Amino acid sequence: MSQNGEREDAVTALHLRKVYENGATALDDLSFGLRRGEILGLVGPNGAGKTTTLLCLLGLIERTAGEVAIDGRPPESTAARARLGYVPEVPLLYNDLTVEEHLRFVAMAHRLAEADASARIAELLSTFDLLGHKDEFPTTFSKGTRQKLSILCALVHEPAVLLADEPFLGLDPESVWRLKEHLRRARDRGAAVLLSTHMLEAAETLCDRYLILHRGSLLAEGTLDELRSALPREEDRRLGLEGIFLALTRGETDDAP
Amino acid sequence: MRHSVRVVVRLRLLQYRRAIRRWLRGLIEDRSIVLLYFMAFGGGAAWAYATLPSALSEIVRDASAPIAAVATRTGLVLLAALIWRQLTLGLRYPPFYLARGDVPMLLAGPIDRRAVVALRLVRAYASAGLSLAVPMILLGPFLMRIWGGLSPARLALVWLHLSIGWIGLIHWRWGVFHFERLKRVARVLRWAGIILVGAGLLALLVAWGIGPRISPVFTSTPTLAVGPAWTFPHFGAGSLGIVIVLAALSWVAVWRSVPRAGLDGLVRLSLWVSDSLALRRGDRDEELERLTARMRRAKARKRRGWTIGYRVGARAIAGKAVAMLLRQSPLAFVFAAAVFVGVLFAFVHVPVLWVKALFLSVIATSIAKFPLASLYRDAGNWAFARQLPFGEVEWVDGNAAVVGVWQTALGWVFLFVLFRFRMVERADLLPLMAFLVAAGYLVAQQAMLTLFAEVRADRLLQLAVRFGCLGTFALLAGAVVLPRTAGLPSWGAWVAAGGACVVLARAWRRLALRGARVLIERPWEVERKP
Repeated sequence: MSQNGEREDAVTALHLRKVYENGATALDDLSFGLRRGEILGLVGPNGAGKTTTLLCLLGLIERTAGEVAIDGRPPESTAARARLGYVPEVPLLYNDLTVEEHLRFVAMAHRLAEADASARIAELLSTFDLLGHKDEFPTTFSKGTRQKLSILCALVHEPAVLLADEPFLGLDPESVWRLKEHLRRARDRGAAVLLSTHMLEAAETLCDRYLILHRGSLLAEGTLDELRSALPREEDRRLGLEGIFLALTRGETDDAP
Repeated sequence: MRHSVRVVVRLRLLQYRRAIRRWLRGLIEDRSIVLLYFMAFGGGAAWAYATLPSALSEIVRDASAPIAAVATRTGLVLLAALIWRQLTLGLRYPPFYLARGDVPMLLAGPIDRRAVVALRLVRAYASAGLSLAVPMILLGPFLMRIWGGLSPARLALVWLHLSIGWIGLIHWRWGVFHFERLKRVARVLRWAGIILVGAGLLALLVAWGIGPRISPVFTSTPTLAVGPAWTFPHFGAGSLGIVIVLAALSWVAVWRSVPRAGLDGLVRLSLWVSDSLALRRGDRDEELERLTARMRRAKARKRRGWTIGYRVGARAIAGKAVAMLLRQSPLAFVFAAAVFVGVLFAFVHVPVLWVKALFLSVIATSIAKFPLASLYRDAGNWAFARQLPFGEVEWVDGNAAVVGVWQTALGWVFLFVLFRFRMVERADLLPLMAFLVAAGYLVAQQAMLTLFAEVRADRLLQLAVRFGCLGTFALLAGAVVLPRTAGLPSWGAWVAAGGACVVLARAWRRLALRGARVLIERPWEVERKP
């Protein structure tokens, strides 16, 4: 359930706080909702807490405080994770499995029927130009190809919620375009996508709303127009996402002691 | 749950199959080296195994202390050390780590995390059981000779006790790693263990060393005398039942704790280990970059010795050195074997004791460089070495470990050959073996110093190395000569010499660390040298 009680949120984070062992506060009272049929851009400078946010949503790291719900369930539950797809910041793959074996394994884990899995895998391999590599091991791949495989592993079961951490890193322009198309189609079929990225141009053409994080806190939230209108100076209200981001984060940095 | 287990089992079977295939391929590709190693070490081990029964019979016959009593104490101290290690290891490391792909595919996927943990624990049980079974099978005949009443069935019962007890300890380690309250208990146990194992070792020293054969004075003191012959500890069905119940209870505790256990530490360590292994195999540059960044972050957070991954880093370096050693040309090994036989021949036939010792010291320090081929290459291309996510501690400790093991193994083979030709007393055999471990450590540190001195053309370091060689020679000569001139027991001299070796080695290690640090942090200083 979202903060305002609406029930359409696929992911809800309430008052998230994460303090690491060394005392660094990565997230401080972060609350937001991710709606179905929406691509939400998670942007912020290095160390803003984007990856930590995703790891908290996945239940991969312990939260110091706060609540997370995936379709109303805690992220540690198997049922919640069955609805998730996750693209990590760096491709985390099995060196001993071929491309096709990776995808078949994910399909099996998500209980996809054999015929559906085969059709889906063939479609994805073809879309992302990996059909010729399907029997190869990832150790022989370039960074971009590994990234593509990592993305396909997250997409093979058509997740209801996709959490993607810098998915465009290492991809060639055509693959970026194809991934953007794919994410748009996922949104159109009702999936919720949380996209953490530094590629603001790609985010601007893709995302419906944005969360701007800074030092673990939510600096601004809303559509591009809402973010523009929140800027204090009139001349800034024609800026794109990059300009808004810089205006907001610079302001924060200037205020900082 | 059943589905999760099925998925993970299929995945693991596929991974194991591929790993075995890769391993076999490696064996076939390097078959000449493998064959040489098999002949050298397999043959040496078989020979040692064949000669041990007669050696043991003579030790039992000549021993002034009841051998069963001393062996029981030794066994108990070893057991205490093993338990203590498992009780405290969880402070830094979980009982297993995961493959890199497990993080997004299993932990963030729809698989029940209990299935993932349970199957990894099963592997840890198998590893624990095997690591006990192999030495027990190999040493079984000797153990039964030491303890007259010990039968194969009783030995199997002991193995069951220890294995199942170890399973309980693995569960404890999981708990300590994940839960702060158990960490606090483990910290207390760490200190209690240090005191207890230390006291046990002291008691062993008294039992072995200060027996009536060595120094009759101590036998008049009841607390220091060995006392009555201890029988083998009784392990029956009742105690086995208790151990099984305790292990089962700890299993339930683990099972219930999995959903509540934070995965931060496990994920961090798993990624670290996976990247280190990938780096060792030379898979990709990205792993290197990530590992570098992670190590820097970890170093900034914690004191070096306690950094997660430090040991893994040193092991990665050691693994790299061993891999390079294995890739040496077979001719190099044939040459090394020829040198070894030549040294042995000369040692046996040179009559003057101090010349023997000097000869041995020089050869030992020279042959120590053989496993350092990897470090020589890296030192010559320090730009590459600087990229690696390791500091001077990992470089020095990782390489020195390989050299130390190499030297000790060679030293023991040398010793057993001398023993076979009656050039070493039986009473000196064990103290000498212990001394060679310390001497191997010293020589390893010297080898590191030699290398850094050569690379940096640093005169101070070169001088230190020469003094180091002289120091080793003096220690070796002193340990051989002193017992005969001062009337001291020879084991005492060997223990003293070993202690001195360790002290000296620590000093050399500091210098080696300094040398490595300069290479890592200020390579331009080296590059300017002629």
